[in-house]
Amino acid sequence: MSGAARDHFIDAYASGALGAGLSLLVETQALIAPDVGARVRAAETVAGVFLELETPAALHEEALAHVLARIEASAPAPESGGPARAFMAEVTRLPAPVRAAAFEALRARDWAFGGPGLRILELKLADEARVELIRIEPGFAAPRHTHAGEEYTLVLTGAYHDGIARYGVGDIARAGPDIVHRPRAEEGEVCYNLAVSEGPLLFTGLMGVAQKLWLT
Amino acid sequence: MVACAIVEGAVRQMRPIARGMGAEMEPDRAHFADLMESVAQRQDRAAFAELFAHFAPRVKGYILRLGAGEALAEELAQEVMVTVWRKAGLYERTQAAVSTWIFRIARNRRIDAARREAAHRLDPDDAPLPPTEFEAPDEAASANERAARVRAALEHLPGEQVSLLRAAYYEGLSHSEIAARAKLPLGTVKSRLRLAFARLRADLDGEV
Repeated sequence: MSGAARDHFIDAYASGALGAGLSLLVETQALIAPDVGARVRAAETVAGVFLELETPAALHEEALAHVLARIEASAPAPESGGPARAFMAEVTRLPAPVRAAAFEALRARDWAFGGPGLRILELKLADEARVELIRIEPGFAAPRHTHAGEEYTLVLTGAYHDGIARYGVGDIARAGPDIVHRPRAEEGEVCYNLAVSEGPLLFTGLMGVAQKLWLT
Repeated sequence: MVACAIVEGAVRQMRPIARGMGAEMEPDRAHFADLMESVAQRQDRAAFAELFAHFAPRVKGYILRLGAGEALAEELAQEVMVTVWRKAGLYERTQAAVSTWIFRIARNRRIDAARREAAHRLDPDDAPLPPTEFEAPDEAASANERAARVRAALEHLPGEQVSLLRAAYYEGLSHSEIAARAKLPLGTVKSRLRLAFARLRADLDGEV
């Protein structure tokens, strides 16, 4: 993605304009790419100042009592549990937001076989988005494929080359129907990716316009 | 670590902002950070009540501004404050002003509420995505100082630019939506936003 389009993407996340799947993608990228983290932090600081300046809206007079009662009633959510699955040690070392979503998914379903050296875990984050954690063994490749809509893929560990470019940790690859590729993980390290496809309207609205205007 | 005695009605060092945003008082961000630490360390309900009194009505105002109805805004504002209590242990004053941190929780709740609405199910105890945690920033300025600088910089921007920044960074409107609302060409909105945010960042940490 170009710099300006990427900035727009980051700002959209920070302001709450992205859906759950793409929010997870940018939130995670912010943890592993320092420049992304810095921009998210700046945008959130600006938003926080606008929250300071917000016109207060009175809550129900019993609101604090209700909130304290809910705090009393709530037990801490269980952190783990569920059946034993493959690759748990690796998943435990993934960035925290992805790890949490993966653990939740693994309580409900197992990794799916995607081909030799390829496993896919669907993260049921949002109805409007397909969100998948993809695990590629070193040296193995995903089948050659194209995409029904826009798909964004963030590299979490390792690196892959898709015949067009190399993608390493913190890089986001954007692929659409115009791209046919065969990502192959580099030797040495297992390559984990977070792949998000959201509804086409979002992308024409957000990224399509951004790219056309900024790239000229 | 400053242990903060909670005194009923104690409001320290409120000072007015010179111009531009009316009679808004500069909040005492260090005090709010102290309150968060009291909640985290001692489950201090008086500290929480003070945070609630200040932030819950602003969070509700934010949710109303986004277009929610009264009942939903009340519910979500209360949920945000429950999360503020539960996640208090994750708050780090070096990383974020309390206003930034609570904005993140409200923002994440908004994303999560949209998701739950789409899924036609409502689980009030469904935790939102946790607030983003960052590595320690390189710059020397503290998080509170950064927020103060943003607020001071906003004071010196023309009101129209402040409105554009609010729409983009706080309300989460797309550039097209902002252009339609402000009756400005899309390209103008984009260039003004880019310049205004670059200026804020320059004030924040010397990067553009």
